[in-house]
Amino acid sequence: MATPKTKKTAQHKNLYLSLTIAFFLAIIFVFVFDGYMGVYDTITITTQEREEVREPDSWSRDDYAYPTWTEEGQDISFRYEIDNRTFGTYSAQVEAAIWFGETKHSDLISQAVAIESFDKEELSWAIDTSELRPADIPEIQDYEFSVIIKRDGVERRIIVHVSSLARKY
Amino acid sequence: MKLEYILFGFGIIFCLAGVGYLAAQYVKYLSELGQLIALLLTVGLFTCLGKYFERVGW
Repeated sequence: MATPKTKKTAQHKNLYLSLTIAFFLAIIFVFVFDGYMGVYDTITITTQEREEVREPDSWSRDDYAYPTWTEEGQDISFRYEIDNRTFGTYSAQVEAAIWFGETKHSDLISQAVAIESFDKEELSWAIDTSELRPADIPEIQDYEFSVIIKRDGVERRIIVHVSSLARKY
Repeated sequence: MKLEYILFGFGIIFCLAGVGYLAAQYVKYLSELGQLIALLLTVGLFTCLGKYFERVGW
């Protein structure tokens, strides 16, 4: 038969074990909650017959650039979605531009956004690659340009490789 | 009997190493506030675990 003292000790034992499990679950919760909260951006690129989606977590693995390709003369469409998973309104100036190396070619979009808490906003634009070829690159040669999106200190770079049609046909 | 304990020990070490590695990978992506809270909770977790083992008689 358990004496009051041993019963109390067993209760304490269980209390500490329960607290340990509670702390463990709380850590898991912090990981999940912290991962969910924040401002995330997703880029969807559509060209020819395919669609590529650059998810927010992929930028944290490789934040330099995302490469894609198309053929000359094809349109390449971008959908830039900003997901505000915070408790406040997110305000920022979103700018997208075409760059050839360190030289800016043209602006694509420049828009102020104010996204309500736990809401999303989508911006979209399209590029016609038939008018982009730099004058110093021969028609038989492929070329590349970058689409750089800037938002509140965040920079996303997409490098577009444009295949020349002259070489093929 | 001894071999079993050795294997058991290895199992525990690998398990802890795996959990530690995964936690370290996750912590990289936590915000500073999240890291602080997770650290405090970890301190609490090990304190309670220590107390539990103390009560058990280890």
